[in-house]
Amino acid sequence: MTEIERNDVILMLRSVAQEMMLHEKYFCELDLGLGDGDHGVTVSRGWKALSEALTGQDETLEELFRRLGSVMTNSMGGTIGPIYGLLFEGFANAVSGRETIDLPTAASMFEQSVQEIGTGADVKEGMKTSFDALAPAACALRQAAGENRNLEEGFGDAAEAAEYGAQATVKMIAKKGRARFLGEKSVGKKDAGAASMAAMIGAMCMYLKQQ
Amino acid sequence: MKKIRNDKEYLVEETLEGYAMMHSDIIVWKEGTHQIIRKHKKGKEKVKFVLGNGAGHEPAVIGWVGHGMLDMNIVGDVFTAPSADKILEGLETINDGSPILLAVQNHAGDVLNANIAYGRAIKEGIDVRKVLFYDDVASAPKGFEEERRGIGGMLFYTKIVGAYLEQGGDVEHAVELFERVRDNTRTYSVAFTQCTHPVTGMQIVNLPENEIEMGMGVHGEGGGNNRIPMPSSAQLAQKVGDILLKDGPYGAGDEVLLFINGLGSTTMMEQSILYRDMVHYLTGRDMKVAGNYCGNCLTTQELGGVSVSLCKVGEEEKALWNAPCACGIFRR
Repeated sequence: MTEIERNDVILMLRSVAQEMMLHEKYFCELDLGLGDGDHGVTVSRGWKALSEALTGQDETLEELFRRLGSVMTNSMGGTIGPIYGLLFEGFANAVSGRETIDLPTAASMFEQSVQEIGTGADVKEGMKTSFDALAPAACALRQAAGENRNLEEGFGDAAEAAEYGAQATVKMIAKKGRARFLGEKSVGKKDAGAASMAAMIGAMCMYLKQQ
Repeated sequence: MKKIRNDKEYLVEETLEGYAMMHSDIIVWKEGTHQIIRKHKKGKEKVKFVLGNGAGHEPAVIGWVGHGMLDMNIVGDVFTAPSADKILEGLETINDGSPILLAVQNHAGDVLNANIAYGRAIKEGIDVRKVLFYDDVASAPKGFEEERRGIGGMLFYTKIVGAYLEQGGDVEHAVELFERVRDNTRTYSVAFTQCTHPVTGMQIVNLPENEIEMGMGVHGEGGGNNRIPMPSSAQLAQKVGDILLKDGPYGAGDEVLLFINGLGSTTMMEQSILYRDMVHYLTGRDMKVAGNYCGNCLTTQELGGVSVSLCKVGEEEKALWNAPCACGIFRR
């Protein structure tokens, strides 16, 4: 497919939410290594709240993303709440005035999110955070858009890049969040936030491929 | 997991409700929210003092709300900073036109959410001042104090600045006082035994028999796998004392407040013995203990261990430390 509209976005996010909630225990177990072992609980709480907020309201794509961002920030709390809030803020900025999302728009959405989170949370690649999954996904989407590929192919590349990015956090020294207090001892474990971010992009890809 | 609870969905609400029932002469739980508020409110002309934090550390800091202490505590989910909306909601509830001093413990989530809430509150015309607290020596090297996380030493600023504001103190000096207390405070914590996350049931710390972890954080996160065999109390006092004195602005002739905080399952017998040894350690270096607190004040579930905090004080801080107060953890 070349583009999706608001209704598809709602169906996609509902499917992503289902998928994310299934991984609750896995994200908790990852977080045990570096944090306090409840990342999955927080992620689940956020996606459940998002799922309940996916109503058929009369609003534009931009309004939808902005509302969902605030739902995520408030239901999750902690560090990851504002991160998801900024993620959706970025999405909202990129779809301003648009009724559909094609691959170049999707690339802009993720690029805007990268910018929002980078500034808002003062984070860069290599700090062992969710950003290490998000930033490569944005690059992959942009590259695929440049090659005129379709939406599901673009998200296929993005999911792969995000997964690769999340895997790369294993070797990193944490520079943000609670894990940073571990210093070099944080090496050898995957960052739970990066894993859940990659899972989200993977679930988006899975939904698009099934259509 | 064997923990007293009903539906884990309502773990935090039921904690707040129960604790407020226990201290119904001092605090009120605002139903449907995560706010604990003083029952007898300060006058309109006085600066309000607010702190947000994750749940699971009780009696921190719901038990620190009351006369001469905090006006409000905004609570997040278990081990999770309250969201920006929860903080803003709290600020709106407490706002009566007088300035609000919002204390923030230095943890990524607390800072991010407080910053968002602060920005929105300012836009709404609420007079909020934001102050950041950090004291954990183990979390960043000397010279990088601002990167350290905020842990047990927060009791010092809560009591001292709380007393100052109760007396009708102005917000500018309160900020100055807060920063002075912070810069004169150092904390170091040590964990002995495991603890369980009350929602997931997973063990977040698991230490081998007869080994302790030096420099543990308030969520049970490791201090960098800095493990040593269990020392005697006198040896532990010496180790922790040496770390604190080497790092902080302490020297012979100084007067300090000493705070031994039980992390959950450490008995008062153990805390008393360590308190004794810390006092011997300090007086042996010509320092005077001008005030103290000893007890389970900022816990991490049933984690065994302690945090030790020192705060160098002058006449002003000493008087405020000894000023009257009434909250869940102590009355003076």
